[in-house]
Amino acid sequence: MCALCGVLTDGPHWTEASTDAGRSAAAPTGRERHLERTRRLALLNRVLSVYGCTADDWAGAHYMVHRRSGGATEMATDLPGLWLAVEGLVGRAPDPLDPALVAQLENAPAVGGRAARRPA
Amino acid sequence: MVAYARLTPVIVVTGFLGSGKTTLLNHMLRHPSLADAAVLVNEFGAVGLDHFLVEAMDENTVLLESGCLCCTIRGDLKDSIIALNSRRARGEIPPYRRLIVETTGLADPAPILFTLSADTVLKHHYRLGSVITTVDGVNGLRQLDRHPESVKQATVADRIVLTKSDIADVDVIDRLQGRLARINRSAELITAVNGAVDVPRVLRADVYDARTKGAEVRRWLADEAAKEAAEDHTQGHAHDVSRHDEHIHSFTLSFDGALDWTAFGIWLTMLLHTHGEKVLRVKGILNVAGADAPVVINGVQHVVHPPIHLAAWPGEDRRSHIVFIVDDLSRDAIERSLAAFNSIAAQAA
Repeated sequence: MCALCGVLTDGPHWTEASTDAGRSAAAPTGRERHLERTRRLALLNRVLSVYGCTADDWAGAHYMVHRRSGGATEMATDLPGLWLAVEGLVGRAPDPLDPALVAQLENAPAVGGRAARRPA
Repeated sequence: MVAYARLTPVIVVTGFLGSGKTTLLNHMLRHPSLADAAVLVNEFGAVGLDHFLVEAMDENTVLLESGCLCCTIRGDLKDSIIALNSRRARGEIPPYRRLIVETTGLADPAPILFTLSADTVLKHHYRLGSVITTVDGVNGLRQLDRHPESVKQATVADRIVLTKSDIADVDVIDRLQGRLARINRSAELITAVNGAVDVPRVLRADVYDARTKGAEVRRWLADEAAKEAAEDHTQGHAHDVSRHDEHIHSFTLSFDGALDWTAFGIWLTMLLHTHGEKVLRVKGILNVAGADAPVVINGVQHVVHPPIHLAAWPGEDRRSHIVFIVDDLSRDAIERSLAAFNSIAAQAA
């Protein structure tokens, strides 16, 4: 549990595990984690923009998701929680197979920055 | 990953009523490599298990708020494993290093797998090792036709053990093997002869075991070429539209270039959020951008196990291969969607 906010956390989600065989999953440094999280948010926001939503980081441990038009903000601890929050905000499940979403992503410019998890 | 690999592996043995689960288990438990295993059974059946440590559980389930049936905590399983764990810790029972769970013949195995990976207590002591499914060589085709549970049991398998093949018609066995390959192309099919199987071959399915994961991933890749060829050969064959598994199909997506791990995580979590009940299985080997060695992924419906690092590529092939078993989802839509998500992640040289 986070001592400041009282939110229960249950270890890193599988998407946050290191892909580096040279170190254990728990080993990424704080800087690597920060870079990876920043990059994940940039990619996420490219997808969320299609739904009129934005995600921000909160204390390096949670996502704050809201509609760009204002209104409620939802908090999520990991990506499954984030998609649940998005569904609550927009009123439908965000579908990665939706041809309209796929077409927008195919025509979108790439998000820059290198993958944070480099081999040791 | 190192810590995850050290958790006690759980081997789930499932299969339809009368398909030979207990007979298989009795044979396997005589093998020295399972001398340190404990066994949990749903019920004491007509065939007894000759083993030092067999416990029974009574079914009770807790449906979580998501309302998804695969995301159900099986309270009986949780309570039974925690009780066993406490007795092991107190030294009241031998220090077992593997746990085998035999399901009922009518069980949907997905909640069992979910319980092992999602329960806040169990996940710190146990991990899923593998799923072994028995299929009746004589009655299997009929059971797949009539009982959706038997189809589900086949889709989640890492190993399918074909039983009673010695008394089944050769043509029936041939058709059954073809059908199982279509439902679950990633599972190795092993034939039991008079109830006996090659036990080490069955146990090699645990991709989290450092002793076996390299060989298991090599098997996935070796099987792939053969199954692609077989798939091409069977294109156009008529299907019986009344079957429960008519809409269930498995396929492999291969990508030449490296995949961005962050984009892949965003994509797969989003896919499972919306279509998790239709994504019956996803497993594969990924060429991840920025990493020298491949990463193995393994998931059942909404449950994705921690990624596995291989120390090196198992062969010359450096492509990513992902096997999907899906219910009524389009292969083309999944492939195009994953490629689109990957394309927004630019990789710096």
